[in-house]
Amino acid sequence: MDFDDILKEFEASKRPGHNEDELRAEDLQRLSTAWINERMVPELLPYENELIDRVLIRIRKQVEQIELNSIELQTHEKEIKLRLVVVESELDRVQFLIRSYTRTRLQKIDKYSLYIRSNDTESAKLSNNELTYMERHLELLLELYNSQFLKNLPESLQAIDETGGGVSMIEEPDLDRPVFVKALADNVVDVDDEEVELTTNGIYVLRYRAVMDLVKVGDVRVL
Amino acid sequence: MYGDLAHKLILDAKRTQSLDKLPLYQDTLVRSIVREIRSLQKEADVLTEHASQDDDRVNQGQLFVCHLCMRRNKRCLLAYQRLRAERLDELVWANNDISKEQMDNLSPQEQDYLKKYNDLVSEFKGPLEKIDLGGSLEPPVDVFIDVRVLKDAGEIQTEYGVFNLTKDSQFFVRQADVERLIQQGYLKKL
Repeated sequence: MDFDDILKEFEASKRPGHNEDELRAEDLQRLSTAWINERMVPELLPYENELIDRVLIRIRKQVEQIELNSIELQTHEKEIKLRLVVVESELDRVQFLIRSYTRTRLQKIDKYSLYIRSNDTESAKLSNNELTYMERHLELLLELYNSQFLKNLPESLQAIDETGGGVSMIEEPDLDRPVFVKALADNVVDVDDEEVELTTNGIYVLRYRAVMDLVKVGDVRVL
Repeated sequence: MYGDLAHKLILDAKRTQSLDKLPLYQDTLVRSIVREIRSLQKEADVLTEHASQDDDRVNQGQLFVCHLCMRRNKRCLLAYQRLRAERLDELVWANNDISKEQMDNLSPQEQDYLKKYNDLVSEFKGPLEKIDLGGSLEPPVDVFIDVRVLKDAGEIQTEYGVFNLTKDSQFFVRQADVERLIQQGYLKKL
């Protein structure tokens, strides 16, 4: 925990009605949303740095607590056991969310790495760890291609990020892929030349491009 | 005919998609395709020299076909290698021991890549050690599960005591503790 976290926690505790428990529940909700969004949306979303950090800190504490408690297990068998099981189910689920979230992001990063690298707004969505991973993985792949055949080709054919010649070698996320969304507020979106009205609580299938800004501000929820 | 070899390579890649294991790396085929590209390049060079003299439609057409063939060959090579690289990545994430037969099917360069990618993944997992990134991507249902032992796996130590995993015995254990053994096929979830 660094200084910023201490400050944040202090501030959070000062706000009325915002105790640690509520904050925790809120974070969990946000983690689920981040996970669902990341899985259902074609493009890479910005990394939830602070959120993940907070959750990781709690996980660490919980793991410590479990270890501490299981030492006492022999003495106060029953009551502790029940509590441990509850804490562990919770822990398993949160760990799963983060695991799946991270792996989904890695899949997208691997798939679109050339595109992400060529574009500053896209690169800014990655965490430092992800950025290092992407650079290194690309390096390894290039090394593999080069040593297998690429270096033996005529020089004019050695690039792997050409966009000319009818076929682009850089794969981009398909923003026109349809997504299921639930509207959380009334909005109007443009689809081609038509306007589509979104009413609160309605469920729609739309091209991601039409609702991508609303997803980011939280006016629609991806299903 | 130009492009036939690359077609063979793509067929092999297509077959690979439906196999559990990566088949043998097509070294000779890849080499011949590279050779084909180089001879095409030579031909293209000659054609370019002649073309500079006058505006000759036949010559231009030939040149165009040469370039198309080279590019297509290159794309096939890349597609083939990318598919294999992706499969290698999956192997690393599955975190199981890679059998000797599988290793023998890889080219030396691929083996090298596999090793380096493995290091990269471990490095990435480092800051997230509490999450076990290689773990199951199925949502967890129960903390404790019943498992049956399929192969002797010796003793394991957990927070809930020591289990002696002998074949055909059955245990009620914490899923997280035995995840790896299930993946490796020692235990079966009931």
